[in-house]
Amino acid sequence: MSSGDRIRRIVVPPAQPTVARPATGPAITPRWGMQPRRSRELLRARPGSLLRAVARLDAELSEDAFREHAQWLREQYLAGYGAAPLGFVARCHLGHPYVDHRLALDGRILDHFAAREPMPPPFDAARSLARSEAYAFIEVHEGGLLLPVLADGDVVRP
Amino acid sequence: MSEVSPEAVARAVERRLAGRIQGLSSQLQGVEEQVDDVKQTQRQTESTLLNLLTRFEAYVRKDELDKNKQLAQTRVGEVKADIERDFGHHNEVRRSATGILQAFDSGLVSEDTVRQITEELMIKSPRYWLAPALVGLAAWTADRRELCEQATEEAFRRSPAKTSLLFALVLRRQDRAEASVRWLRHYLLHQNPMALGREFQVILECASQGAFGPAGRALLQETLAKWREDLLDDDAVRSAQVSRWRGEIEGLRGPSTTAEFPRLAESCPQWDRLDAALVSARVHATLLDRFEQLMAQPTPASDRLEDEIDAILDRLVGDYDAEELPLRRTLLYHELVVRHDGDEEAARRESDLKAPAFDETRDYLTVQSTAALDPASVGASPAAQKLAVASCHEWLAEAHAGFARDYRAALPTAVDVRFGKGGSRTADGPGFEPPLWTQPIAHDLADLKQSLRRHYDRHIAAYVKSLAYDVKKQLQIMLAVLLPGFMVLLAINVKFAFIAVIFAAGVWGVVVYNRSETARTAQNNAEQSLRRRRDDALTQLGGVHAEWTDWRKRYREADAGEAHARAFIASLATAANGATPFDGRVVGANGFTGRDD
Repeated sequence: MSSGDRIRRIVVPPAQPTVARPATGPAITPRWGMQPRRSRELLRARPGSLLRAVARLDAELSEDAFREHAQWLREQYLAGYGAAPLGFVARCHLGHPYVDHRLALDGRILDHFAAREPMPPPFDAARSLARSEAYAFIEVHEGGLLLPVLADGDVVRP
Repeated sequence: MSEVSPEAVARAVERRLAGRIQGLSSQLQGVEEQVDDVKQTQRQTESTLLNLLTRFEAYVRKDELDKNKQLAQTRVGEVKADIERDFGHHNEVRRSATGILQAFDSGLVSEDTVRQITEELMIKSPRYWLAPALVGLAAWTADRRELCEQATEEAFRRSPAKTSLLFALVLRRQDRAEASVRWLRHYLLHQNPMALGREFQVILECASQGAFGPAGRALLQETLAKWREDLLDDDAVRSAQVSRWRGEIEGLRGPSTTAEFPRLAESCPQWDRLDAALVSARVHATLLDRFEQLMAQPTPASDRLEDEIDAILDRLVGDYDAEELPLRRTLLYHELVVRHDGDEEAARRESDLKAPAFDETRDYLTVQSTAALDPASVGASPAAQKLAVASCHEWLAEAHAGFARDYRAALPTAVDVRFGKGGSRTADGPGFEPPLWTQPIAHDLADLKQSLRRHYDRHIAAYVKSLAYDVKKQLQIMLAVLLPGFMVLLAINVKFAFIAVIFAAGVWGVVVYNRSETARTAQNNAEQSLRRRRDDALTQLGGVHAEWTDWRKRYREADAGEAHARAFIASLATAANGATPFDGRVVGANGFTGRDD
């Protein structure tokens, strides 16, 4: 399908235009390493309330609600873990042709992508992981750090 | 007077000059010969000197090595004498210790005999921790509280850790659980989790054998949990353990699955990554099998608990004491000098390699990982191995989660199937191959087949057309050649011109016809052959698609094993609390029953 057919809701135009890349091969090398001082807090298990909130982000219908919800999530992350992810990549439940979506936590973008449609970096590096049913979603952090979150809230350590 | 001609004078001068020059030249030659002689002599002298120097150096080196060897031999004797003098009775104490402990069990030896022997050992081994410990035990049996306390304090002063462990084990054997746990607490307090000695494996053995009863096990678990927590705070220590377990998990990978999916392997450009992912996903089942089997295997109780405890005590009392280690290390070095014929450098290198075995200490996490993964190297029993695996569950879980994440992340997001020139992983077949055709493998098979058929048909048609023989063009050439010839011949002889042209046109026509027929046959053959190839490609495509479906099913199944493996690893956290074979068992009622200290 063409990118014009994609379901896209832009609450606020993205700050910088994203560059389309080929779907195969990550845009950046996933960075599993991280600073020790960050690791302790950031690697704690995510509570069920947070998991549900991330799942609901996809289901919000109104743009205001979406933005408000994203802001709330961001605050939760900052308060609980000292850092908020840039966004999430997760499996898409809309059905064919969509397979995954990204949720940018700055409240700007909710995008659904078909299998071969390119996802902008740094989110694209999380696509293979997001398609696995083992993870509820993949957090994409500053610098390309990817943190897969299991269905029970445990975070896979980098 | 006769007149002398100038020519004669010149000749005479010339002769004399020639004679002089010849003489000079002979003299020069002689000098050269002499110089050569001197050079030769010098070379010989140099060579002799060099030879002498080499031999001298060799002599000096040999003399040095001989002296080193002699000195080392002397030092070996001296150090052995030192060991014998200073620690000779340690062996006697070690031998006696187990005997005395067995005497307690059987109650066959009189208190006086035990007291006499232990006091002798005490006098003979003034600095060894085990001697006062034995005196303390003997005093305990004789109900001499004051002596018992003094001896125990002395043993504890000499080696707090070993004394604590010995009393913890002995009191445990005598069913003095409370006192035993008290000593165990002393022992644990004197341990540095970053630098545990060799005897710590003994403690793990005791815990795994249930030697300290429920209270002892609780204390041990509490301490071990605290150590683990402290050590896991150190990122370097933690990641070292996780890396070790990760290596273990990766070692469980099976062979490539190319033989299971030959068509997919042949026609999918991303096959290497798919293969790696499936091989990795299958590790979960292997991991689960291996550790479930390990944790489920029975740890048979010994017929005689006393023998098991004695074996642990044997190890505790049989090791060299820390005090002996410097001398033992010196002895090793000098023995190696003798073995290397005086070469101190070689001896030092080998000594450096072997020395860590004497005083090797390891952090607690490494002790546990080693007991879990390589039990033979530390002599861990199956029970201790199970306990160690349970203790390692946290970093096993981390290594396992990281392993799963990495192979999942490496999966291609787009998988293709391709045919045509260069599309096969093996070399292209002979003859015609259409240009490369690549499509997403996830598309519907009917669509893929239709697309591939069109691709083949289009290129087959072009190729078959290229084989055609152009009859029209050949006829035009024939006309262009024969017409001018006919005109020329017509001017010469009309009849001959007609006959010649008809003959030439006939021959040429037959040739053109034959060639045209040959080309048509070749076209037919090529078309049939290429259609067969196309049909083969379509069949192969069907196979590839079926194998892709099969691959996805098998990958999903194998990948789902990750959740089972994860759940199993999480369950290991509580596995350490399971029953142990000797839980609650003590020495029989017929043994010694001393008072509680």
